[in-house]
Amino acid sequence: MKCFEFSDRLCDFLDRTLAVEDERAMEAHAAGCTRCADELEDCRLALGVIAEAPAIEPPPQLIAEIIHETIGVPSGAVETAGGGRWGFLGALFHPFGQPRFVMGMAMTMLSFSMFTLYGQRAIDEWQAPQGSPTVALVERFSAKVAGLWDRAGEMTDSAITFYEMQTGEAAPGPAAEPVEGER
Amino acid sequence: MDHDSDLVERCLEGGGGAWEQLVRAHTRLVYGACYRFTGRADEAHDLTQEVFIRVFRSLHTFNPESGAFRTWLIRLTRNLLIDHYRKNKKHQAVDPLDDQMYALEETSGLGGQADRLLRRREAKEALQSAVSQLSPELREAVILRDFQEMEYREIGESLGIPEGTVKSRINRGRRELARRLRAMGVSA
Repeated sequence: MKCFEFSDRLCDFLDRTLAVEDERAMEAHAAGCTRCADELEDCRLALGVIAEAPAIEPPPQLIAEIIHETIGVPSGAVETAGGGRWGFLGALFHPFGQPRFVMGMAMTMLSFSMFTLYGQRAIDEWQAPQGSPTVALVERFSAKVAGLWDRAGEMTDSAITFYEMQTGEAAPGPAAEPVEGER
Repeated sequence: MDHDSDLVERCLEGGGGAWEQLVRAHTRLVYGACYRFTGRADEAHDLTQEVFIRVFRSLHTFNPESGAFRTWLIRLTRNLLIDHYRKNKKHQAVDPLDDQMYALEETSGLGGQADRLLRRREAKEALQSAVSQLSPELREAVILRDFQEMEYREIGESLGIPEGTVKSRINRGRRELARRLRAMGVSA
């Protein structure tokens, strides 16, 4: 056996995939050739150290981060949100059904409701000349505000109910209480 | 059609669950290769994310007839790692092995302190340091074969080189690795 043949077969020799007679030829060559024996020893040393090295495990959160970065939904959620017949459309709208989003919407609606309530009171308290077109306009506006306030309250209640269904918990924060009292 | 190709097809049809399965099946392979190549967990983390973002964006270009998904994935990973290596090459510090050799020469006259120092060194760190100092072409071949346990044929397809060249690079990489490990006082 020539040295270049030894090198060519070295990987297979170390993998133990050579035929028995080829293995013997390799061993015989290494026994009589210092250069090839050194090469064999080097490779064995490297493989020995690598074999003792611990396996590298990715950080547990990495997969969730990749899923979030690519299709924008939390890991695990895609099975129900994106894997069904709605496909990526489901995944796309999945965030809107999340408890955090729903609570955010509820708080926004409550804020608008409070704003319109106090706006209406300010209008009610304002004394304007009777029979003028301005007063008629203000009264119409006031009625609209009152209607809007009622509808906002209903929507807030629905959002809170939805949140509680999603999480199985009572909705936290001030959203649940002052609404009834103020109305 | 193999399982990965089937998952890719389902991804392209809009199956988010199929994409998650693909990511779960291959994150370990990609992260392991990135970690071994860069030697840094934070870089491996960012690079793995980048690989999958690129894969996701170019999923429609994958052709199952021209090779396995794993091979395609490793090729993308390898390209990104080489880009990363080139970008960071000029910022890399002085060869850490040279520093270590200098430190050993300094301490070798102090009653075998160097030996004790070497014995305390964690084999893991020494190995990672030695791998990081291999040239990129030897490093990728050794990582894919010896750490990721890929077949020679698969490595050849991923790197675009013949199987004989893969084996030759692996031999050279292992020899270079052994030389550096010995220099750090590591033995099998």
